[in-house]
Amino acid sequence: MSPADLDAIFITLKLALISTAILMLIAMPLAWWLSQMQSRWRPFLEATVALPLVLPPTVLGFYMLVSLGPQGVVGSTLEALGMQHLAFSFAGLVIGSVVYSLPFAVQPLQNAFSQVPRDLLDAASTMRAKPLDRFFNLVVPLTKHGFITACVLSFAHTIGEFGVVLMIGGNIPGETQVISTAIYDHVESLNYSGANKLSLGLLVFSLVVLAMVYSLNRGAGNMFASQGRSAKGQQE
Amino acid sequence: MVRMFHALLFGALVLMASPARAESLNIAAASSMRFVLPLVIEHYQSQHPTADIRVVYGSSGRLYGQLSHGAPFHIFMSANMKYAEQLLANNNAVGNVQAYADGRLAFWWQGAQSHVSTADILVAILAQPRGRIAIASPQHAPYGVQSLAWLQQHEQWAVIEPRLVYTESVAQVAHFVRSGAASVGILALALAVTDELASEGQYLLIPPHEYQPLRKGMVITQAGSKHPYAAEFFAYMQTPAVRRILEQGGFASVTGLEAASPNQQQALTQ
Repeated sequence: MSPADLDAIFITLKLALISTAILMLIAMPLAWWLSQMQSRWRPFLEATVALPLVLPPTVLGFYMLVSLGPQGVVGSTLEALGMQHLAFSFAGLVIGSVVYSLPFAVQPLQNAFSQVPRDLLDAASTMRAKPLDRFFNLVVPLTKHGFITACVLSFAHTIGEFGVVLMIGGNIPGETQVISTAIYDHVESLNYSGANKLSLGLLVFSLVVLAMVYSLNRGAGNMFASQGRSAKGQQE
Repeated sequence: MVRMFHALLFGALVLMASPARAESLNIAAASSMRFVLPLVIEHYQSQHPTADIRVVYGSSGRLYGQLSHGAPFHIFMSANMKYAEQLLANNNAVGNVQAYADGRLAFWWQGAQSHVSTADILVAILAQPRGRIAIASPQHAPYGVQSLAWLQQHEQWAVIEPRLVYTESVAQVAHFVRSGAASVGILALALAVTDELASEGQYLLIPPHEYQPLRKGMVITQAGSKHPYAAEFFAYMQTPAVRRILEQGGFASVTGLEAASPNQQQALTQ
């Protein structure tokens, strides 16, 4: 494996780890809010969060490039403040990945949260547990599987993304070149053995990750809707 | 659970704080340079061992788009003059656009089968019920523009057109043909003569007078004007040693054409 490949692997892991951490910070309150929401706007908000699931990554990447670049709203504001714009930078990749993987963090958490029995929360509040206390000492332990699924899926999804990182990252070796764009480069230069090594690595990694998620959620058909079991199990 | 989350956050923070490396010279180069440019850089680095050079290859149109959105490249080597000139006109580049080589178009196909003329190739393709011709996308790849223009002159254009498949860049034409998805492709001679392709198939040069020359221009970007090695490497690209490497790599030298009249120059840059 070439030094550029090792760089790409390191950058990919770094990107996935940072994006997952940020995603969990954003997704936790967002998913809780969505799961507790009664408003008729809820489907609209849920659709917004799910949008990256169906939008072609190039569309997302294009909009992000335009807004993060020097002529865009975000990029020009940063430059006016004396900072660098975010297109073709690692920070830009992180922002792109967070947006792109948002549904993979929010949906498992939201499903898990919505299956926490209401009466348990009510019982806790009769014992004067404050909302934050209830969340961290009751909801989080009950929805552990939701957290693990969200973490693993966001991490894996970030590792596998291509369209967004190619658009906003520019595929610069050692800076914004990740595994998937390195594979693309190998294929274009007809270095099939190089492409093969990285591709096989990604394939095995993805298989292991998915097997992990399924074994953690054993007994349920859908990985997105399987966190209720643990909540019920602990309730008994 | 909380501890695991803390570990995740901590790891992320440590990685974010990791120091950036010394700034390398970043070059955005047309796909057709993919096999030749590494030789040039190797040569340059043997004289400048401290220079760290990174190259990103792509279709010139895509690279131009990225450059006009602030991509941190120091030198732009386009496959035509137009994109380099546009970059200069938009104030994203400095100095002059310098022609560094002329590209050549060639048919490339897999296997031992030989063809004597381009007409022969087209007849063979049209005879195959599912024969496909791969060319680079004319929307953003200069080689694609000339490939398409050349095919359009052909009297059988109407039956050729439905056989075309378009690739992201000229280097991907080779990938389409090698994987068997297309029976033949039109690509840069600079790609066809490489070991990687020569061992897999054969090429036939399209006579250069049948299409407008693919004059390639390079320019130093705004970011490059502040880079210590940019101007030097730019000048190095114009030395006789590099011209020789480029010629061996399948490009035509621009020396003979530099004296062309302004009219011709305009025609060349299309």
